[in-house]
Amino acid sequence: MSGFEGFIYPNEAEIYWSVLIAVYPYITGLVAGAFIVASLLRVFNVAKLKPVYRLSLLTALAFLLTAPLPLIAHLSHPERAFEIMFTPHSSSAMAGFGFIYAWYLLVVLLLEIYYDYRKDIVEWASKFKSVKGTIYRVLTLGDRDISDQAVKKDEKVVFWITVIGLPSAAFLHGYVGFIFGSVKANPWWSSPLTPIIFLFSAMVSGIALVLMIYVFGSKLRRQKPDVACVSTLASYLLYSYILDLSLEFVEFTHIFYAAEEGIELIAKLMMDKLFLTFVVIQIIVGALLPIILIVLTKLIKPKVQILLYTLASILTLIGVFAMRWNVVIGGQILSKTLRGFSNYSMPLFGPESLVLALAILALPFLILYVLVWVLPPWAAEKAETF
Amino acid sequence: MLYFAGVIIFFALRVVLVPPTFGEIGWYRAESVGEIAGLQTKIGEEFRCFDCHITEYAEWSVGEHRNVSCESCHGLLKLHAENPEKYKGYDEFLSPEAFNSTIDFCLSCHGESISKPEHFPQISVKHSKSWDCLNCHNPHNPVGS
Amino acid sequence: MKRRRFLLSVLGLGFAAAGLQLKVSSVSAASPKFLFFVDVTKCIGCGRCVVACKIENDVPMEPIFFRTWVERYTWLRDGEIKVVSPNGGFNGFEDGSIEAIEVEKSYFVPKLCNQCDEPPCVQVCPVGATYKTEDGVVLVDEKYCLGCRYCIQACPYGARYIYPSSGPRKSRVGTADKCTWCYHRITKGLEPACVKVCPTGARQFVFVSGDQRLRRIKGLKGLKTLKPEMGTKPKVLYFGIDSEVR
Repeated sequence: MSGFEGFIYPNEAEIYWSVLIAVYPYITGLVAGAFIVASLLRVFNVAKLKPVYRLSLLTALAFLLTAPLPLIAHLSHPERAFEIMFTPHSSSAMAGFGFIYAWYLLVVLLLEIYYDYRKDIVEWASKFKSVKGTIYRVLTLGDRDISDQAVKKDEKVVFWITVIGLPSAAFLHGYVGFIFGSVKANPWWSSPLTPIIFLFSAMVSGIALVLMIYVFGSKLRRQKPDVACVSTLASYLLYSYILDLSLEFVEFTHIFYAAEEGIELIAKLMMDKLFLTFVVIQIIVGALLPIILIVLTKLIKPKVQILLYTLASILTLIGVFAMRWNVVIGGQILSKTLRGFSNYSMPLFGPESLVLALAILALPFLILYVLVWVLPPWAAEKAETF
Repeated sequence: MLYFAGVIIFFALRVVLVPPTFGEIGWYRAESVGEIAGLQTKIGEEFRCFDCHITEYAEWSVGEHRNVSCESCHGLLKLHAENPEKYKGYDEFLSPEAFNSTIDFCLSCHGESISKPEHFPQISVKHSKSWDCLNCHNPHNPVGS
Repeated sequence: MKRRRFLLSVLGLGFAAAGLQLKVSSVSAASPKFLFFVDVTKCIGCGRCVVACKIENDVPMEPIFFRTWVERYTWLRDGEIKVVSPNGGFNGFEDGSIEAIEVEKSYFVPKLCNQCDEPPCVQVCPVGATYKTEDGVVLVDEKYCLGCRYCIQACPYGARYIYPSSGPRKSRVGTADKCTWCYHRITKGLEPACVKVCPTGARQFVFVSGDQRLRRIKGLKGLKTLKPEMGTKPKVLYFGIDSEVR
């Protein structure tokens, strides 16, 4: 009962969307962002990003496979989760989750990866024996035609999937933003800009993630990461961050200029209740610092630029998670009475705890490790030509 | 082909797993309305308190408290009403027995407060706390007798 | 190609399903059979309604779970508004440190589910586990709710909570719970528990058809609903509250 301030409705004492719900939009954001990196290359022909094309697809897949976990873990009746597919309520924003997820996983990501890798898989299937060979033989799905014509066709398919995939990725995450933005009862969430801000912060975090994984992955393989590629990623990170920040600036300008009912509470929420996670981590450490870092690195071009870009990416990832936290948790400690604040303290262990959240966040890296072992993305640097 | 199979399995499962009455009236399980309407009541159906408590009825029906239901002061007592031999007329939350003293019980409504309606009779206790309101007032007809 | 056909069939099914649902949801708009009237000029804050509600509906006794509760609004002479609801009013109210001389005005406000005509909780429920019945009451299906808590976020009035494992009704654990206006009573023609035990008539339940009080209540000046700007169209009507009450 401690830490409350002012007057809250008695039922508001418990925070019903915990840290796991902050993890969920974070993960889908990373998926959307990583996919957008891959699409940049395909659709807009950014040749410098070639080394990370397949890596970002696999990253997107690894995180997408994890995305439902925090949601299912926070349900009090996870055994009833299938209802959301069988009896989706057409007026509920949340009901779309199962279908949007299935569409994105089955129709966009898996197909794109399959067609992109098909030629290699067929080659590997005849190259490897034993278990690994069997895996590839299954993965060919029976289609072993790798004539020039067939490969050309594959590429065409991949291109069109990317074209469909780009709006799908935007929708996947914009939709998550809408889940929050459409809650009219909550002045901290309710805004038509929320989905767009979610989308741009997703791009920011996805680019940062791919950059980080690429650099660390290269280090693990004792190879030098491609400077031009990292630098280009950093540029896109910078551009999308500037867009993201301007949108947030518009949002907050509107909140404070319109100054509707409860404005004092919102000001207090930002400057006091969420001071550490909002002002310090999200704005200063997670946004301004990486932007300055990238700009300075671009201007000076020191020898350690890859290190600095990576550092900026890690800060960005922390900052975007803080943004998710501030939206999800901040929106709930602000009481709907507009007269006070509830309080959230995260348990360390058990259901809906810090440890579980960390485990869920670590899982995609494990999945990615396996994916990279089965479908090495690095080969693309030499073998594939666009 | 795999996808086709997937979609067919999905619809097959849907037929099996969606509850039978779902969607009969609206986008919900129609049965559930009856389930909730059929829950057991615990407080005051037609209790027929006055079949037995005739004296109390005579006092209450002409007194200032005549608009206050029996349950307001005596609690649920559903069991007592159904089987007065076996269950006593004491309620654990809503009865004089739930309070330390008669004074506390009476003050639970008639205590003085800045937030109460002005015309509502409010008492600041000048007697000592051990004083029993029943010494002067009949709770079923407090001002009358 | 196989896949193109697949896509087309998915789209087709999707539209068919959407069409079906639209048709279904347009049926359920019948006129409300019940109204709830709260006269704050009569409420004495004794808390009997809160106690009776918790017993009647198996609401857990912890002070953070309520189907109905009572708030005390106090306007001080310096313009400050103080609102409190200790244990939801379960044990009544004590005046405490507030001096009568500083007080401009003060009264109690009983709260419960507004059974909105446009319920945001029903709108956001992903599976149809909470719904508006044909007589206008919003219910939760404890056998179908998956505990996603979206309805709790969507309710502007804080009327909902997740039923904890400590509660006496085990089949309800982990599902959203809220006031049903004692649906199991009103459908039998009985008053809700809170109304039954209210000693002053501050809470009144109106069976719309043939109720003598309806005209008098509807004719009252200054009848208000809570947070009307939310567009939820509440069916709990308040008499005697100021606009600061929300």
